[in-house]
Amino acid sequence: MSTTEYAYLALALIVAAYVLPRFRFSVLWAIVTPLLACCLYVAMRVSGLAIAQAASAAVFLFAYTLIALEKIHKTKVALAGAGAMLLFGLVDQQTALHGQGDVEGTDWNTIFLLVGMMIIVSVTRHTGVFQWIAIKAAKLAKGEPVLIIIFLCVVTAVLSAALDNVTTVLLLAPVTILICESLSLSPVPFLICVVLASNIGGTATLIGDPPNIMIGSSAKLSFVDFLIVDGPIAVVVLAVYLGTLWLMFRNKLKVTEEARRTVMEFDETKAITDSRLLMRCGTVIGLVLLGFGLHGALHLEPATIALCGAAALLLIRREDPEDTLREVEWPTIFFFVGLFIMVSALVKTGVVRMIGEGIITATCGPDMGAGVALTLAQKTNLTLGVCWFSAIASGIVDNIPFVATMNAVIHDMAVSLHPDAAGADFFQVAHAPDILPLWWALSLGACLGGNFTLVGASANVVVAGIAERSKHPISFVEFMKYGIPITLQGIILSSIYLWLRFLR
Amino acid sequence: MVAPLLFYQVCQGVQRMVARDIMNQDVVTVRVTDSIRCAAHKMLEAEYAALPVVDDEDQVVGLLSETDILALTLPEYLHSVADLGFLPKSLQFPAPGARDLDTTKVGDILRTDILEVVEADEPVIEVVRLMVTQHVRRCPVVEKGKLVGIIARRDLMQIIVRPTIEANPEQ
Repeated sequence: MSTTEYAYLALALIVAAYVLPRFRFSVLWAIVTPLLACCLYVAMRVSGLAIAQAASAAVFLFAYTLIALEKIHKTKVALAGAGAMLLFGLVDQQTALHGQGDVEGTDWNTIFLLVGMMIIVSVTRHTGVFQWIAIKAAKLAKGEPVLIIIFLCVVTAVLSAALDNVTTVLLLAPVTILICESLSLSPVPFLICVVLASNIGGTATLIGDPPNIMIGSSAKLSFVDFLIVDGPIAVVVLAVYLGTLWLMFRNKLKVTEEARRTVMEFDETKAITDSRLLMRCGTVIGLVLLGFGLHGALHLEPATIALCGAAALLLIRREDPEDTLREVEWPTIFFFVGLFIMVSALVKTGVVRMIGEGIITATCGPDMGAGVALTLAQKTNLTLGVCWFSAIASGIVDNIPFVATMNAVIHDMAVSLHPDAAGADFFQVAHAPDILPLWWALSLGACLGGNFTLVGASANVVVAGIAERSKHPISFVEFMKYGIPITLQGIILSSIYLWLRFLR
Repeated sequence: MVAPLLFYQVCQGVQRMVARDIMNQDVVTVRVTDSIRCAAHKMLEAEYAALPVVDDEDQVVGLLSETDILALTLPEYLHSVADLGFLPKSLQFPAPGARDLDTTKVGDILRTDILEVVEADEPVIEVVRLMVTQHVRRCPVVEKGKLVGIIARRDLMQIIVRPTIEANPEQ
């Protein structure tokens, strides 16, 4: 440990301590900062961490805490954390952006897949098709509240599987509230059920939920892989969920005949604003989904297909691309970039390896040397451990930073459990029989775990915002009354499924 | 097509003028603590599209527009819906009591993040810029944050456009 390194560490802490708490100097922080530095130094000596490891872990934990506390916007935190990692030389820019050796770097496949899909969705949302679908569902239910909930959940799940969850709920929620207003029912249970369905539906496909996009890209799993592994269990979880809703609401929601007539008076044909554009969007989305289905066979990355779809829609639409591109959720994109850079620093400094070894020791016992094959019991422990841990962690904090880290951890575990294959094609290592179930456990845990609490997934937060504006706020506890049992149900079913499919 | 600067010559003429020279000093204002009923009443009587809102120390804190008042008829969660033509005519939104007209204050609905004001000694062209690029309809004029006057789009029409048209009669 050189003096320069100490200087860097001290500087890092001072910057973090002064700059982040709302850019205000206070005497308290002047005292806390040296104390923090001392504590870190002691912790480092005790744990035997190297200075770079301690520094990268500290920056990451600090950022993670700030993201969880939600006092500062998560994109600002992620970019500041990434800046700190680069500034203090914990990872160099070349490695952080393009990867090198075992360090994956920024996952541009994920970034461009997200951007591409956001462009496609931002054009489609203006056609009014989402409103059309929601009204159609309510009318099919003949205004019967419990059937409305179930039908809305089905369409939400299907749309969330094909598009992203946030847009789906953002566009379905207003109509859901309108339908509740006409039935004189509180929209709160309807909204909660819709958002739960959206997270379940998103689990089913590669593009359904951001965690799946990241896992698919990191583990080299294709759209079809997701459809045949995550798809069936998502359908089962959804079916059990809908059955639960039927039992819960069947005798609870009563409405008058007149209210039901009001629902039938909604005119869905008038919800469509631009039927020409809708036809074109439908064609492009259909082709993009077909492309995803064939991307393995065509040897094209999913991002390529999404970008081509986006480009086609931009060309078709005569309007200025500026307006369409403005609707891309750039803060989310930069949040991903910041996270990828931070995680690449954790990989580079070896923190990720230590987490991986810790997880293996915790689930498989202390004697796991490199290259030793896992027994079935160890494999089961490891897989189910990852699944449940992912679910709980995703309920407490945003699942995106969690998955970004876990991807790197599993990546590293794969390499350390198969040292003989290292240097060979990573595809083989990532798809080894003891590694493959881990990706699926992570995917199921992280996607379904988002339902645990109101802050577990971005879609939950968005719906809470809309509910607040409609004067029917969703409380944290109210959400958990539905979220916890439904999530437990989903994770238990997933565990059984993982066991049946991979662990026997 | 680039729009020709048809009125630029007169702009040159008013170039030396500052906001203070053209502002209307007789301003109808509402207070943050005024009720919505009071504010709407003032707006209807004065026939202005927007009224400046001041706090207890006469500092301008916002501009209350007809849009803000009209927004109170449309639930906020419907702002993102592309077209409301599908709504059944029989649908009734839960109506608050008449009392809410008095209990809701201007401060409760006022957007303070988009306020555009000019200092009294800023050139008229800056006011034009605000009107053209920031879509400001009425621009409060302040000195040290204190309201001293107001300039409307129509005032600028009178000062810039009318003289040009009158000085250049149709041939």
